Order: sequence, then structure tokens, then C-alpha cells
Amino acid sequence: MLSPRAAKADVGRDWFWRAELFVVLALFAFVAIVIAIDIFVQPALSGPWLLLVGLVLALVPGLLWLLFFYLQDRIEPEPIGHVARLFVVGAALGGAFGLPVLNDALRVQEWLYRDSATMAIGSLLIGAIDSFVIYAAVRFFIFDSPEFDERTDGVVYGTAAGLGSATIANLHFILASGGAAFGPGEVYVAEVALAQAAFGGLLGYFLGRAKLEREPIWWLAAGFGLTVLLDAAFHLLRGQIETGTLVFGAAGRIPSLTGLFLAGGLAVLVTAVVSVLVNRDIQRTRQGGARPPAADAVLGDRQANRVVVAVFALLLLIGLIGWHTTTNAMVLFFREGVRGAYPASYTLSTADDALLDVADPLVSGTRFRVRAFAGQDLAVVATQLAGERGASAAFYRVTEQAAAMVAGRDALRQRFAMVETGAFVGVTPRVVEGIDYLLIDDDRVVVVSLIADADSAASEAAFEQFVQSLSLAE
Amino acid sequence: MPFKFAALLGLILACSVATVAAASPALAFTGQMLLLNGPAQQSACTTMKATSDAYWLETDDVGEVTDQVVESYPSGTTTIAAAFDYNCLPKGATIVTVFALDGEVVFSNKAPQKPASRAGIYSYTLSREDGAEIPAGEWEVAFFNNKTLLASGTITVGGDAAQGLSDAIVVKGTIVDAKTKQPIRNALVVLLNEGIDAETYLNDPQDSDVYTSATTDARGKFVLAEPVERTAEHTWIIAAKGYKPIVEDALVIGDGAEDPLDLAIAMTK
Repeated sequence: MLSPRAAKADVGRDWFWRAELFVVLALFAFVAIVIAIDIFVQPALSGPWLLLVGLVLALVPGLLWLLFFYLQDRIEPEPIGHVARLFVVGAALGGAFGLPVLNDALRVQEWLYRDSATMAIGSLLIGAIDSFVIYAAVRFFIFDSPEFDERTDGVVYGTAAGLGSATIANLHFILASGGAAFGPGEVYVAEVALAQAAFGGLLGYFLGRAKLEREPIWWLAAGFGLTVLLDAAFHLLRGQIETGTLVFGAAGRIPSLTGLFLAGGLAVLVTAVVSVLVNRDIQRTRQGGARPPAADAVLGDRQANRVVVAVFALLLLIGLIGWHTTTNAMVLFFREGVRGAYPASYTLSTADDALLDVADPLVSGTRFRVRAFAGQDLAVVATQLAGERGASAAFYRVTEQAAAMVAGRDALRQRFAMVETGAFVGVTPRVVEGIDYLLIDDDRVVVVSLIADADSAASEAAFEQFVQSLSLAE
Repeated sequence: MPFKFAALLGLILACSVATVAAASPALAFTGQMLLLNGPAQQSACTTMKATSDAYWLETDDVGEVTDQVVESYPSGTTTIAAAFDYNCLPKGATIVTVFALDGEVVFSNKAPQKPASRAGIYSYTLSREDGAEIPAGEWEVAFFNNKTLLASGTITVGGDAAQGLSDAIVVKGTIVDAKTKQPIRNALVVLLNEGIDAETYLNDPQDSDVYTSATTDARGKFVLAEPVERTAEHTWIIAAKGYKPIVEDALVIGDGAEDPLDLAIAMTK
């Protein structure tokens, strides 16, 4: 006789797999309709309407899935309340933990595309945090419930949590962007929802088996790790295949669909694999081959949970070390009596008359330069700089001057702004702001400069760190 | 662009010799404004709007303007003429015309206008004070009503001399977020010199490797500082904070592209 915990473990729910595939197809159909409206009607949305329509469209994938689940619930009673609750919990955990950590604490988006190493580290962090949100929602909010008693329950609850997390991510995307373009916005929303639903379904399968069978302590952690890797691989692959577009002439209205097809394919594949695995498990249970949960299952669950949390913590630690290494690493230099360290993410330019010229040309456009001028008069060199910049820029002005200390020496710190020359019509002139430190070094004046966009406060912090690292050879 | 109101003309409201405000002392320019009114409008005029981009008109050997729109001026041209269509002239309208050569302002004129509730064409001709040839290069014009930009446009003077050797065109564009279509500010567009690929540049970014570049404004718009030859193979790098960089190695504009070439660039996160 089966234990009470596994009483319904051999119940098959083939309709569920059909429902999963139906929702994928329905979502594709909905996206196609939205794109068609975008192409043929060309709705000119702006302001609050753009935001409102974006918010409604962001809710569609999750609501579609829940609606279909509700309709099926009328045929074969299911705890729709629990499913809806997992959706909300997934959204709440995603909003309270996942998004703040990824966007605000780690600012993954800002450094993700620096190079292949940051892409890998960023994707791993995204995968770990996405997966942990789903895991935490299911493990801590439904796993111990008596309602979690069928093999498909893990998949159902995992999918609901994944869709909840995706929905909050999509709402955040819409709100942060002030709305989204009608067609491309919905493609993105559907892409995120399908991918998260797939990851939720996969992790849910492992959770279901951990609950209803006697599995080794590493089983759940293996499922978690696999989901993290799949999520990270999805982000890496999507990053490779979904690139921006450069079109000569007017842009077309058909958005890129590669990411959506990738996510849709992933959802179908995961659904198919998980359905095969669940049906195989059910057959095994019916034939008496499955191992029912042990008498001390609760204790085993706790230990397995600790292993998952430990794996998550380890992945997070690896990601954080990688993040710290890539974003805060410094490169030492020694040039003509000036020693210091500049950010490793900056690239060194060997041209020019500068002692050192490093730049972050593709991310912030920020440049640090160290130059030497003959003479011992700071005011004269400041005037020389003004003449040089005044000749090349449309406008140059020193906005602030004050005494400072650099490398143990008295220095002059000046803040400046200039308007770069460029095209005469068609664009707003670019305003560049910068800081100079001027200090006397024997018979020369060393000038350390920051040249950055007007609003890049982050560059200023990095520059001050760079200045603090400088020392002059005696 | 057809000279839409040519058949309705007949009334020249004002014709005045402009003041000269040459930025380059070596090249002194003089200008002449021509205002052509269209049919009367029913409603009173409150706001002046351009109903066309700025366009350029053919000039003959003696500097007279015709009604033929041109896409470039040949070498030896002594007069160029820019124009735009407008809806009406409200009270207090002052049209400021600014000409630039290769990005540097060389002439400006400020002309107060009498109010008129009818649409029309505002045209401005430019020539050298000494009657010499207009210098070859990329010319730009901007028409303002006081400080509000009404219309602007570009044209090549002397492009025929360079035809086949350096058929360069002005490249401008807009960079937006692919998902939201919102403009991306401070995005960077870099064209490397021929023969320099992206990897070489990114490993050791030298200013001397850059053929031309531009940064987008708050509307996501940019205009490359240098014209680009149609047949040249440049590596294009487009980057913005938080977005996947776009790298196109050995991209050729081709003979079929319009001048100026308008690019639509969409970046993804």
C-alpha cells in the first residue's frame, strides 16, 4: 500500500500536457495578432495609453495560462486557489528579491555585454536567481501542503511560480520603459513568460519527485542546478542569436522573433520531456517499482532543502566573485614616473601624447588621461588646457576650481564642461563634463583628467578611485 | 520635391539683401531672402510650422533661382539656394537662416517677417561677396523662427568633381530600443578606418583608427561628423550602456543609398 503522502502519485493527467502546448500555441497566436495589428493598424500610442496597453499586454501570458487551467479545473477538479497563490507568490518573490538583486544590487544589465566572461557570469547569476525564486515559491509555500500529492503538481506549481515571476519582470520592464512598442513589446513579454514557465516546469518536476518518492539528498539540488544551467544557457544563446538591427532606410515593423521561437521551442521541449518522465514515473509506480517516501520524509526534505540553499549560495558566491573581479579589478601601470591602477574593464590606448590614456569606449564613453606639461606653474597649464580645449570644442568653461591633495602633493582640482563640435543640424550637441587634477612634479606639471558624459556620476566615482591610486616616483 | 506653390505665385512680399555674419573671415558671404505666398487661409495664424524639410533650388549662371529642386550643386556654382514650405506667418515671426560648411557655421541672417495668414515658401540664396565659387563640401542649412528650428537640410557642392573617386554621402540615423522603440541617449556610433576590424580596435582603441563617430542625443538621433564613401568597407560599432553592442565588419553602403542616408538602428538588451 502506498503511503498517504503518495496516495495519488499514480494519477495521470494527460490533459495538463495538452494544456501546456495549447497555451504555447495560443500565446504565439496572440503575439501574431498583436504584430498584425501593429503592422496594419499602426496604433499611435503615447503617454498613459502606451503604459496602460503595455501593462495589460504584460499580464496576458500569465492570465492565459491561469484561464486555461481554470477551464480545465471544471472538468477535473484542481486546487485553482493554490495555483493562483503560487502565481502571486512567484510574482512577489520575483519583485521583492529577484529584480532588486539583479537590477539594483548587481546591476547585471550594465556589465553583462562587456565580454564573453561577463556574459557567462551574468547569465549564471540570472539563472541562479530566477530559479531560486521559483524554488522558494514552491518549496516554502506549497511543498508541505497535502494538496501537493500528484506527480504533475510540482510541474503545475512550478509553472505557476515561473509565470508569476515572469509577469512581475514584464510589468517592471513596461513601467521602467514608460510603455513598450505594441508588437516588439508583446514579443518580449511572451518570450520571458514562455522561458520562465519552462524553467518552472522543469524545476517543478524535480520537486514533485522529491516529494513523492524516496530520492537521494542530492536529487533536488541536481534539479536546481540543471534549471540554473538551462536558464543561463538560454540567456547566453539568446544573447548570441538576438542581436540588434541596422537598416539603411526606414525600419520595418516586424520585430525580431528569434528569441520568441527559442523560448517557445524551449517550453515545448521541456513540456515534452517532463511529460514523458512523469508518465514513466507513473507507470513505475503502478508496477510497484517506485520508492515511496521514507517514514522520515520530512527530515529528508529538510536536508535536501539545505543542500539546494547551499548550492544556490555557492552559485551566488561564484557569480559575486566573478562580478567583483570583472567590475572592480584594476590594472597596475607605471609610466614615466607615474604609478597607479586603472579599472580592468577599461582599454588602454597607446596613441597620443599622453602618459596614460584609458577609455571605456563602448559602455560609458568615459576616458581617463594622464599627461605631462613642461613648467611649474599650475595656472599657466590650466590656461594652456583652456586654449587647447577651446580650440577643439564649440564651448569650454571651467566651472569650479579648488585646492586638493593627490599623491601627497598639493594639487589644483578643476571641474569643466564643454560642448563638442559635430554635426550642425539634426542632433543636439553633446555636452561633456570632466575633472582635472593638476600637480607639480619637479620640472613638469602632471594633469590627470576625466572626460565623461554630462550625467555619468558612476564614472566620477571610478575616476576619484583612479586618482587616489596614483603616486609619483621620487 | 516639386515647387508646390509655383502656379499660385505672383506676389512677392519681401525681398531684401541680408546682413552678413561670416564666421570665417577668409570667406565672406552674402545672401538674399525671397518670400512667396500661397493661397489665403481661413483661420488666423498663431504658430508658424514648416510643412516640408529644407530643400535646395537650382540656380543659373547669373545666380537667379529657378523652381527646380536639386540634390547637389556642381563644381563652380556661385549661388546656392535653400527653401522650405510653411503654413503661415504669425505676428512677431523672425526667420533666422544659418548656413554651415562641413559642420562649421559660415553665414547667418535674421529677417523679421510681416504677419500673413497664408502658406508660402521661404527661400534664401547664398553667394560669395566677391562672386567667386561656392566652396565645395557638405553644406547644411537651418531655418529657425526665432529660436525654434523649423526646417533643415544638407547638400553637397562640388560632388561631381569627386564622383567615382570619393562619392561620399552624409550618414545620419536614429537609435532606439528594439522592444520599446524608445530613443537611446548617448549611444555611440563609431566607423573605423578601412582595414581596421572591431577586435583590433577594441583591444587597443586608437583615435587614429576611427574614421568618424557620433553620439546620439536625447531623441536618439545622430549625424556622422564625416561623410562616408559608398564603396568603402568600414567596420561599424554601435554601443550603448546596458545594450548588446552591434558590430558590422566591412559594411558597404552601396550605390543605391540616398544622400543623406538615414539609418534605423534597434538595439536589444
